[in-house]
Amino acid sequence: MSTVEKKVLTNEEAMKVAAEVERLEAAVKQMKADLKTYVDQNGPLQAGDKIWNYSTTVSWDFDPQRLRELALNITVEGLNPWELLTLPAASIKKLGWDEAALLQYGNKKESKRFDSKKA
Amino acid sequence: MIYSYSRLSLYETCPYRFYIKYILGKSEPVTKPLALGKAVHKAIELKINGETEAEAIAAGLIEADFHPEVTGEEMQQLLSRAPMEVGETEVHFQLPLGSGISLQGYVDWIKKDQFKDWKSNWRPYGPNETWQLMLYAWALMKVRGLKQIRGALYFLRFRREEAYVYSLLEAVKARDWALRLAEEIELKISCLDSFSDMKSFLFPATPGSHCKHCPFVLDCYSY
Repeated sequence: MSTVEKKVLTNEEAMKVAAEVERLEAAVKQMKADLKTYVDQNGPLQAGDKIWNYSTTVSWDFDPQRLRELALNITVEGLNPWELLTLPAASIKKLGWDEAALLQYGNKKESKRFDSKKA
Repeated sequence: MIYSYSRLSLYETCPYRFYIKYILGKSEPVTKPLALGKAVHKAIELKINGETEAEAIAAGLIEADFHPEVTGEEMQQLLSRAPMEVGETEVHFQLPLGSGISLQGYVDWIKKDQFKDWKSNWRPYGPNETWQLMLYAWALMKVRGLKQIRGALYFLRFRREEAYVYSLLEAVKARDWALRLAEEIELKISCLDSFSDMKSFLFPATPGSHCKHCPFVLDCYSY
């Protein structure tokens, strides 16, 4: 049985694919905007095995003055509050501490994301 | 067709978008950057010519047809950063490019051998990163009989001026660029008259990062 070989693009092909991705992403964005307008006017749309509609995402904004109390009550529940309360990347950036200072409290984790950005 | 820098630049970026906009005559929605630019240009022009700030902003909002995303506050910010130098504003030019083709444009501000183009962009760029400034320099030198001219892009958000002094010899390069593109377009338009089914061959879509801002992306994707 033969296997399908994974194609490695030439530079010229890669340039064409990159440009095509830009067009497709822009087209998909426009199509989703058109679908959203349809749903706004007609309600949820069932297309095949999918339903296009709004979903609600929930987030909480805690009062900084009451975080101590929150941590205490998490402890009462038998959990370690510091495993649940994390510092998001934006807050760490706001702190302005360098890597050496941060390394005293934890380890650096790096992950790679594949995408394009302005040259 | 009378050509302008923006028409030629659009053709160079994507011949298919040029075809839809200028040959089929399909209108594009007025985006915020477009409306804001129009409003701010009007307001600066009026303020330089002696109107009060409030009157200039009001006239700018009217000029932008009260675009919902253009606010008086943002206009005031940009207006306060504009250089209020006395000079001629919104100067129209039209002159032959060659081969019976005409070029036209509007220059935001001119004084003797200097001109400026006000920009409300979020990203400043150098004077020769596009052909606009050099092409305007060539046109103004021709129209006003100058041997050299100082052209500047003035980025309002950053109070930053990017300037360059052009000689006629140098600026002719921009004329050559414009003439080459305009001749190419004229030739393609005459081909279209005989072979209307060749539109995608004559005016091909050139996908790229500019697709993000193209209102015709769906036509383009499915044609």
